[in-house]
Amino acid sequence: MAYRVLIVDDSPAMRSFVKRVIELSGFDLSDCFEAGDGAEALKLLGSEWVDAILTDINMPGMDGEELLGRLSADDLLRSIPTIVISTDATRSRMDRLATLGARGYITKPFLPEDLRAVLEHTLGDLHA
Amino acid sequence: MPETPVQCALRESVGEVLEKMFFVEPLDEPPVAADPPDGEIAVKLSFEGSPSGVLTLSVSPDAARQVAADFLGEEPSDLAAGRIGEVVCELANMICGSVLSRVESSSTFRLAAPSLLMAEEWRRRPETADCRAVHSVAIGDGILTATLETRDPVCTSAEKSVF
Amino acid sequence: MDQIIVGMADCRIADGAGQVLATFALGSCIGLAIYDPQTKVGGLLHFMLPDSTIDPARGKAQPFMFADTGIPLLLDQVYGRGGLKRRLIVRAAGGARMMDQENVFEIGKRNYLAMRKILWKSGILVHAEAVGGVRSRTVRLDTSTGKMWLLEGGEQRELVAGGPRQGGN
Repeated sequence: MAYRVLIVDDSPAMRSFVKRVIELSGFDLSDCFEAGDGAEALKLLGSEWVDAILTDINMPGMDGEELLGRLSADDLLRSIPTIVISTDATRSRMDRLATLGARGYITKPFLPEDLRAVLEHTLGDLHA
Repeated sequence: MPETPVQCALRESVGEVLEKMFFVEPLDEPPVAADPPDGEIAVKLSFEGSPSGVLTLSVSPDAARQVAADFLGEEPSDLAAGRIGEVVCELANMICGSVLSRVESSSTFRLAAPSLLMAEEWRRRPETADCRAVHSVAIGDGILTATLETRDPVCTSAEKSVF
Repeated sequence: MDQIIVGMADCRIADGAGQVLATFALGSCIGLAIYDPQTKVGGLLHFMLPDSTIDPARGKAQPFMFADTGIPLLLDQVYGRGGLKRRLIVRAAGGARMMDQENVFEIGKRNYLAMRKILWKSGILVHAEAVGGVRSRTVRLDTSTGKMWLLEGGEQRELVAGGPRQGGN
């Protein structure tokens, strides 16, 4: 199966890194979209469908929490599995994200293999 | 002088980020001189929360090129200068986030976007912080220095009762 | 069962038909095993040091001693026998902290980081590992089944993804 993925992070370096991990994890990527913040992500999702979203939290403009909130409030978009990639490992943040519907969570810094495990766990549900 | 909790958090965070995502084992170095050498890449990142403050990261140019290439999985000679700055910005972001997650924080913190500093800005920066922690390490042929300045005194989560 | 012993600073390739690659006494050294389950080609490298630039002549004469010269050769040899990068199962063991006079303290960790860096830059992720800690290890790669066996502290177990990764580094 070929996946369409959206990576949301204000850091171009981290977007490159995450994209590379997804590719090296053996997922066939037919499209990999990138957005610098939540607003850009929502605009893109207005015209493109994706199979998974990976998002940072701390971003200028619309941050990851607000993005998650907007996704979960939308009947169609809430079904897209979302993985949060963030430096914030505090309990309060993680609890909030879980209630906002994040399906997976990984804290920076992480090993590429750990992200692969989260991807397999989250996207594994999509194998037809 | 014994290491403060913030210095400990800074040292551990620098080590963890460099090992996990840059495959570098940093070796402790004594603090560097006030003026950085030419071409050093410096990044500033402010944060709000409990505490608020600024993290500044500086890296020697050759070391910056090498770690950026390693992070992106590319050859150092192929790397455009702009991409090196992007990687150092992300390195600062990760170190800062990691330190703040270790340091006691009753509410979540917010990191601003990191910005590259020009040499003059680096030298001119005021020293008005209540609390300042510095950690320098040798990486490859160069030096990386992380400086964390906060406006409130902090204590680590180890000093508070566990939730 | 044909057991092929891989010595220190050594690398061997096998391709099925009841062959087992084995290496012993992995202290701070690392045993890196790669296996293509489709063609049943496997390779096992036992390297000792992270970086040949400290001794380039030795790096040329004994490339399997170092991560930076040995790992690319291991990969090339497996590719040459029909292994395909995207199918490879990669497992590693060793990199322990040995307080041995002959070894530099922390060489185990430096070996591990060097290996990870080279694999990442080569576009390869690790599937399972047993690294760090303070104990010596022995590993065996059975190329007919693709299973890798780890002997540590007198106990044998299969080295699989998702198992305990480290011995307490």
